[in-house]
Amino acid sequence: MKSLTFFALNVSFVLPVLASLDLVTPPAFLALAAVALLIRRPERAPHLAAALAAALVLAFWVWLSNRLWTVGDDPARRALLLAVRSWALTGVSASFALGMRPAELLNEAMQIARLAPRVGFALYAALNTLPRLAEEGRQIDAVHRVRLGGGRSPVLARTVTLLARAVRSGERAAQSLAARGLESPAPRSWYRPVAWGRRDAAQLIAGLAASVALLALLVALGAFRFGFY
Amino acid sequence: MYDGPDGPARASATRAATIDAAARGPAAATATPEATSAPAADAPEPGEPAILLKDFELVRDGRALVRGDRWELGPGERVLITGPSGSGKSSFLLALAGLAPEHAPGLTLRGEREGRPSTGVVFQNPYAQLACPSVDDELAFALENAGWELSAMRARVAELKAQFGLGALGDRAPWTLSGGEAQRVALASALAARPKLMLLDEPLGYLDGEAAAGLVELATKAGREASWVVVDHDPAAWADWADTHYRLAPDASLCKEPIPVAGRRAVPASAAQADPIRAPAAAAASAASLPPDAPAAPKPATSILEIRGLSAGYGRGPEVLKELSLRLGPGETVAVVGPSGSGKSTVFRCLTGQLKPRSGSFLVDGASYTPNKRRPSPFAWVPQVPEHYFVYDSARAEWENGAASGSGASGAGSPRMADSGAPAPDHTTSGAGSPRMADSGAPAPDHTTSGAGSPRKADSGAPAADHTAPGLLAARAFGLEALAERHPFTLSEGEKRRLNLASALAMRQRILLLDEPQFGLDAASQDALEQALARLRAEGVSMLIISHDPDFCARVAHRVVRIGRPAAAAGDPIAPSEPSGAPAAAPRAPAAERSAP
Repeated sequence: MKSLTFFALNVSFVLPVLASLDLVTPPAFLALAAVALLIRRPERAPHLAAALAAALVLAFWVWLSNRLWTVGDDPARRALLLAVRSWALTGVSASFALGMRPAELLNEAMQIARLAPRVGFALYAALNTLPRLAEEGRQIDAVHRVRLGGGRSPVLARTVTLLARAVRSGERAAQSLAARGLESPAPRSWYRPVAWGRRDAAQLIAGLAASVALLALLVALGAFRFGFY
Repeated sequence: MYDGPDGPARASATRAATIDAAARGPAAATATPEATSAPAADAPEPGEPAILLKDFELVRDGRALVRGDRWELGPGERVLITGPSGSGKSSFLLALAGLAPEHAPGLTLRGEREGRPSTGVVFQNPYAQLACPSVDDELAFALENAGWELSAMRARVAELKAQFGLGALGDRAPWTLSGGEAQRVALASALAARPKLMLLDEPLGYLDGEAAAGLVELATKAGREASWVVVDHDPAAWADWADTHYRLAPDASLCKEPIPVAGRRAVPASAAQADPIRAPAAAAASAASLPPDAPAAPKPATSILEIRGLSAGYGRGPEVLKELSLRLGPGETVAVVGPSGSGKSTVFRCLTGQLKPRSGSFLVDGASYTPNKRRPSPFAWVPQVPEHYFVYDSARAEWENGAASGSGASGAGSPRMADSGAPAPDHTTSGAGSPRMADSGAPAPDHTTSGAGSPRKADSGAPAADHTAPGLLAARAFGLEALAERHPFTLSEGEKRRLNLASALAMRQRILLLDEPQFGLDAASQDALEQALARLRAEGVSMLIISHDPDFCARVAHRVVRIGRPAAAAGDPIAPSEPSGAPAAAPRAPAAERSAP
């Protein structure tokens, strides 16, 4: 399954979860997301199980806070609905993160979905910058701790420093990309070509059809309840 | 007396060559720079210029950076452009690359230009210019943009990997590479599409000596298919490579000058004058065949800092530092040198409590010291990246609160400068420097706005101590007063580094940790730095310096300890325990280790 297909399917899974306020729809679409992950990267199943277990903590916190402070009709049921939805949303997000390869998605987006290379390579550069900025953040904290007698690095000072360095880094990356001909009018070729075939189309259609069919079934059974809060 | 940043800034490459020749002896000193510079063996063929500029002026925000009647770059010619930081060298490269003004706002090249050859550019920071998900993709990027066939691309990528020693790195993400590896990838990817013009902007700035030499060698092997322009503030590394040398003069003209002599950078005469302990050292050094500028080592009876058998590693990984022992005496400067990845920075991480050592111990003033990053430290630490140090939004606030922070860092067992003017717990800061600490959990000092350096009256009405004095004095010493209201981020690299040092000195800690302090500085800024360090030595500050530049360390340190790469150690110690009173030694690299008499 292509990254682009996986991305599109996960969007189709997460939207019904976001728009539902019942006990059935969120787990049902979470199950679909898990199936998609197992098809794409079965080796990630244990990680998904761990993520779902961890998401229970978040769900419990949502339930508790709503149970204690929500007023109105049937606060206990509302708290439960919100907790289940939170758990499912976290699960679908985890499934997407575990199954996704960002570089692959960008490559396919540029070649298949016609994402402008200028945007695609800027996103690549940002992906490369993030780990470096995280490390720089740790270094700044270490230096500030020594300077400030053991106290934590001021968040604002650290943020300003990181932002300034990120902006400069982005400027250099843009210059480097332009210098190597990113904006050249010549027809572009690809070192890792990808093509959209019938199989890919079939996978996308089947996945979207499953998503729509599940939603239609839940509506027909009266299980789906529209609502955000 | 410190004569300000602009004194040595005017040092020309010719002067550097002359001084360097003088430092090597009378015979060398009588030779002219022309006589000592050998032309490149494979001189370029004459032909149509790759670029010809006529009546040109490079302007940024209304200021002329470079101007001239005619500037020509021949086919296959290798040109080196030098000049102080901020003079416009990098902007000139951006203009030659055709990136101005689209990708360099405010920069305009006026005049007549002939020739717009295909271009490859390499910048100083290798990580900022690599944007693709893997090394292979990076090498293929320019080929994709030029529309190469897939089979040709694969062949070219394989060729580049073989040529640049990148064979095992094809699938690695750029941010996981070492500095040397990343810069090799940057050079290879710039050369990928066989450009006719190669522009390199201080490409050695992030590299240790070994990696820098390797990169120059690769640039040499790349041949003369392209014309090359290299901008660097240290011409020595490129002396054997360049055909032509231009110096960007203060009047924005490009002055054609003899290629500087290869070798280590010259020591400014003013540095020796600034350092009272240099002069006797120079006399002693000549007899011992040591560099003439070597500072004389004090003869400490005790050590202010002692590291015993330090071994450390990250996570469950291998040890990056093994059995390092060294002593730092009061008023002594010790440099730890070694290539990238040898564990130099790990020493500081352990000392400041960022990393727990696997074994070893520390003594500060003879008492056991256990670093804890959440407690006040006995050190002032100047990091490799000057901007990492800044907390406030004006230079004045930085140096004034250096004093404040030092006071806050005062704790049991914290050795401090033993003067009577030690700052008290509340402090004065300027109105200009509003601290960015409001959200900090740090022990923020009691700031009160006042004029520059004006002492504050205590509530009781009794005159308080001049709390600002340490910072102000340090700022004066480093020639920073004129920059007081500037935001630290707007300063030049050399000014930032001096501001770091002033703030650190104002902390009044007796042990100063300096992480690659010469990193990325041009010759003038490095001269100013060396004078600043000489001043600190004269004040009796003990300094532990880590650096990849043995020449720099030889000039500023009393003793140099060299450590090697852990991979080479393979079970034996990187640096053995240092015998009492003797310089630390490393078994595999004794050449760089020395001790001044």
